[in-house]
Amino acid sequence: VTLLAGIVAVTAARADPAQDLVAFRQYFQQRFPALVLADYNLGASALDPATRKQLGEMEEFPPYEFALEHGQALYATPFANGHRYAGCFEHGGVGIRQQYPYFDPASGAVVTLELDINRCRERNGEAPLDYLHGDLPEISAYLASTARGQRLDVRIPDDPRALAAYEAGKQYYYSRRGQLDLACASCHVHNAGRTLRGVTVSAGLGQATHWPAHRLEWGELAPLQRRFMACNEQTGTQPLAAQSEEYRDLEYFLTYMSNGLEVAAPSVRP
Amino acid sequence: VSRARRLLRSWACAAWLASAAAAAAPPADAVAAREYARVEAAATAALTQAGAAGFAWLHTRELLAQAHAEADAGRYQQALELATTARTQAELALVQARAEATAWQARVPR
Repeated sequence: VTLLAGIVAVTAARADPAQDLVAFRQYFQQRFPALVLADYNLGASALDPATRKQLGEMEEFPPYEFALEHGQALYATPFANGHRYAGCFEHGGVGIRQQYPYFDPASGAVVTLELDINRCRERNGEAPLDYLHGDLPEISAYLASTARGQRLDVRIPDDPRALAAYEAGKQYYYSRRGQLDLACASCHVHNAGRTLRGVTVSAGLGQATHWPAHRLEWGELAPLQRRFMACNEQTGTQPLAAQSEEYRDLEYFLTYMSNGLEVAAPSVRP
Repeated sequence: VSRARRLLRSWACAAWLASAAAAAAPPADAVAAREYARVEAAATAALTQAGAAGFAWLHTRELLAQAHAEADAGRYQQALELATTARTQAELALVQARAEATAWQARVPR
């Protein structure tokens, strides 16, 4: 119990998230002076011209096109009670992706777009969908597509619980874990742009702008948290459950670090 | 003759003592089974703590499951080896969790 208390406690002087964002951007701008901020939307391909060309060509006839149409059709389909998804979201769900995830003062927790989609279903008497595969990522991708070009605007309200969630996500991002003793930041901050087993490692800046993504490796649209799980596995860490509090906090921190960049989802990734 | 009898008597006595000792000692499997139970309990406890902290390693649970399967099949030596590896992993994950409670801060760009 003492150990857990020690681990959970964030003991350091807490930085201001806005200061963190400035430092995070400056770090990458100093490291990759040839890139402009918008380039970071491209993920690893911003740092690898060959992949950039290849993925750019794929976006002309993107492999997620049919899945996106399916997501749109699902979103428009009424529930058994006659209500629709659009009734659950501000502006009918159009152009809202840039505000996710957000801190919900009522529940005292971070809410992702995927969580809100399932909450909407449950409020309307429907069973929740699988977070990682199939319909839900497709619906999420459709909603994200309606916000393309909007700048990410994740907010951390003046609520100690929101700041604690942000700090927990930040701690997760920078903590080494697993058999390989690697933090998210070990690859995506300190070794971004380097090659790892033939793959260029993406920068943490811009990492949250383009999800759900169709990863060629997976052959389907998938949400950011599936990538968290895959990263955990690659470092020899037991992944957490999708939409666990830890992953939602991580998504909160990571998306906040991309504030000001445009929503570029859905996307294609290697 | 009496010397031969004495020798025979002491040999018989030694043989009896040896067989009695062998009968009293638990079989090797029983020792391994007890040791396995002890190590498995320690591994499970450490893994639970590591998991609660978000630091469990990827294969520890699987190693424990394999250990359980070996123990169920009566192969306690193999079960013990697997549980020992699982315990080592889980304890290392806890060491990592303790270290990272503060170490992560040094990695944040300032």
